[in-house]
Amino acid sequence: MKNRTSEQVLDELARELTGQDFNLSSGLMAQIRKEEHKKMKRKSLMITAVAVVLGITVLLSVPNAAQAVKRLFGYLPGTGFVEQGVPLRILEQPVKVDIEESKIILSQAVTDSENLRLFYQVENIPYSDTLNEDNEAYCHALPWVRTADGQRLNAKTVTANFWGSGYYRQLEFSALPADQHSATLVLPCIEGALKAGSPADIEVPMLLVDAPEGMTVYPIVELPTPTAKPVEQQETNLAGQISLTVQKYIQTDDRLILLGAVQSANPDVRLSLVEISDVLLLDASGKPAALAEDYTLEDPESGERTAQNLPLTYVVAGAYQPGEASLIIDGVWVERSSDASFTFDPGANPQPGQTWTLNKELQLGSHLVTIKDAVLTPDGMGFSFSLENGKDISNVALTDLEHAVLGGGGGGDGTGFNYRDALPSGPITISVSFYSERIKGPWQAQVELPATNATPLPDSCLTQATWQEALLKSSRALPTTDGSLMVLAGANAPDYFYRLYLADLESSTAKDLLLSDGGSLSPDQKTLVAATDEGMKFYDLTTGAVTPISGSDRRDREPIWSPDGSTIAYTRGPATGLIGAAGPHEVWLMDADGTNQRALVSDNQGNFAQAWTPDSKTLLYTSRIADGALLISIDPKTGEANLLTQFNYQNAGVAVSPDGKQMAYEAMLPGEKYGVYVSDLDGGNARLIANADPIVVTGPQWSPDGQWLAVTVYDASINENSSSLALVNLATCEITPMLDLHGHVVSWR
Amino acid sequence: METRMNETQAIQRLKNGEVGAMEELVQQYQSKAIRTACLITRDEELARDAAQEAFLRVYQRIRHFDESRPFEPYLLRSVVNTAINMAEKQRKKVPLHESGDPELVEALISKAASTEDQVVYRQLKQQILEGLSQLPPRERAVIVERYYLGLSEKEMAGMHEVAPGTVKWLLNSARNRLRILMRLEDDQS
Repeated sequence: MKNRTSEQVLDELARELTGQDFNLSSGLMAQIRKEEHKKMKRKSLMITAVAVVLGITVLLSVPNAAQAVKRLFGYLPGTGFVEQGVPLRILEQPVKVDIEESKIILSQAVTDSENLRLFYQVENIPYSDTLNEDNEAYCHALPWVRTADGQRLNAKTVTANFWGSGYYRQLEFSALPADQHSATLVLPCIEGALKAGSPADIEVPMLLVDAPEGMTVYPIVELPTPTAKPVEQQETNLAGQISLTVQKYIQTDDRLILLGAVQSANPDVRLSLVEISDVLLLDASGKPAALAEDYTLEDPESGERTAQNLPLTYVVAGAYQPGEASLIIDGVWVERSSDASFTFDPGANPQPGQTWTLNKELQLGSHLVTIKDAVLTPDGMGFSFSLENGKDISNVALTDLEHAVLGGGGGGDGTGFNYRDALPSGPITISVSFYSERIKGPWQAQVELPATNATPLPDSCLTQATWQEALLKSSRALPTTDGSLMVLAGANAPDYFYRLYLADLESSTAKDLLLSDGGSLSPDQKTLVAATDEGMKFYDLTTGAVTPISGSDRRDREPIWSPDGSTIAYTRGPATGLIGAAGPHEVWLMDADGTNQRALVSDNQGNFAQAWTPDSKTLLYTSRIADGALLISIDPKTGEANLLTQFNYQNAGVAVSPDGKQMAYEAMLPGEKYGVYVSDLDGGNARLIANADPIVVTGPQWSPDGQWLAVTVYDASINENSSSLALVNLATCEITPMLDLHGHVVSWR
Repeated sequence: METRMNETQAIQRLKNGEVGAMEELVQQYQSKAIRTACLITRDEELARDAAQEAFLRVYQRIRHFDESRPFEPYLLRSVVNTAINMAEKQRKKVPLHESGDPELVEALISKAASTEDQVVYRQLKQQILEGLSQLPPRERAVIVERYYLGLSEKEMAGMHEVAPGTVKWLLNSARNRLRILMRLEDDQS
């Protein structure tokens, strides 16, 4: 009789071998920064609880071309789909519960006759709890709901966003009975905290009230007929067996949400994904409208994702011409199997590490894949392969079907496997087990777009077109540097860890200084203060000497030296120190010699030091809110703070002009596109400087003479692995690409 | 469902560019990944490297991962492969005397799972460790895939898409293991 399973035996052994201290996150995230850098998608890692502002007017103005659909569901911003035509009950007011240093905030609850949806956030999971312990020791239990009559409701579906020091959750339960207006959310423990010592059954009481008059539930509008329109494809082709439909839309005050699906009639392939770069919405005037994906919103009636059904949700944001529009998808990725194979003979005496040049060409559908070479693994028991393939094919996985193999973690360049028993003798046949293929369309669906109140964006200096023009120029204009120094932070080969570099614009060269992801020059240009994983350090630009700053650790980021040289402001992150952690961030100050470290802004928000004014009397910092960030000025001596303006981007970076009259900042343009603005410090007189999608422009920094902006440009068509610097002349809009300088400017003075 | 988080959502968010979602997957699976790797590498540092490398590969290819499929086996397959290759590289630097018998290790695991005697259990665990150490990494991987990751031989064959005509080795392996188990039973009695 078994007392334990084999898995338990080996698990116990493995635990004895490995100890309990697991934290791959830091090293892994450093590696991922390389990948992240490719796309510069600095999306918010934090979703704060969304305060749902409500009012119940069902919109009745539906365009003639469409008819209101059954009215079974409506869209409630911040909540998702709710039933229409039934009374809704919502949380009377947010509920906060403090559990030692942790805080639980129930921000919203909405129930119709089908579902109760809860939105809550847990902040400040203690440092000691989030690191260095066995995963099994943590609480993994989901909360449940106790109804007023003592019934227990368990969560049906879950969405979540964890950020290391806290998390946000959305839970869905069966609806509360119609006559009940109170219930209790019960947390068996705090997820992510250690079970031991955690208080049990934390109760969060909630009181629900009838949704008030005026709460807006937007109707789902069904388009008059299915709009699938495969374009000139033969039905025998896979492309001809794939169809696109857009069945419905929802129009809210600030966006239009399109609901549709890609479907396949071919059971031999799995629909994998549609890249947003393959999607285009042409409005009635034939111009492209800004489009973004919304993965959080699933049409309750479109069916689940399957191999043959891929639901799509797109948000149209910004201005467009109403009327008949076309949603066009140029490509759909599918996963498919193959019987393609090739044979090669490793010979009589293959040696570990031996390489065979193969150059075998495999026909996978209409694509040619070249298997360049094979390498025998160090023990002589497996092969890895290098291969070349076109851009419309990916993930090619190779295996030996005639012998037992181990492992194999997906395809692509470097795919391979190990033999279980022995390296076969004689010729071996290598087969493609699966691959991903981008099937070319286009597929097109017609959509009648309703009128919109959005106004078009103004022209900007840096657009895709002006950037490409600048790349073709033979001459280049540069700012007057006059002895100024520029410090860049960049993640470059071979290890892709962030380093600081001293850049020379004239020669387009950069001198490696030290490992760091943020820093600032002293006004006398002699010293650099740099943030590192060991805490902040001083770097002597003359001698190269590095001096750690006592009392600083990896939580301290983005130091900014005041123009008068007396003070350094920096941001202190949450105790976990995890990259991108979105828990509380504080603004700190220290004297220029690293002493007298003191908190300037210390609350439970995400506060980030941004820039000094030229007189050093005011520091600007941002404070994250649910839908962006507040820009606040603060007197470092008195602590007196004033709200200047609000950004629509949580991670907006800000740079103040040398004359102190203007700022440059990052913004999110409609459709989640990145943009850069210049404005007065209170946000007035905003001027769009960069709007270059699909090219990503971020990280503005002023030249010392105030005439130019340095920005970071990620143009995948030039380099998928690295971003470049560009200079924008604010007076003339002239653009100077600096393709040999990579990263973003952290200091220029 | 009492999961720490919804992995499907995490994968969708990762596909959408939210790197923070990777941390969720890491937090959820790093223990199993490192332990899996360590049983193969027998070196904790190497195991961490292998697990990290596997997570990185997952990240690089996440856009092609179908989130309607289970994530754990997808990840752990990559962990196994990476761990084998890393362990083999290490072995090249530090050659080991390997004279182990995988079927003996399998038998020991089975015995350890059955025994009620804690002293015997500890002894068996020690023997399993020694037995594993004497196996080359790829053979450790066989043990790990079958007995730690819970893959049946059929699943292993299916996982690696072994053709139906090539299951002979599986049958032979099963017969041999049965023989060894019977021998062990005799020894214990």
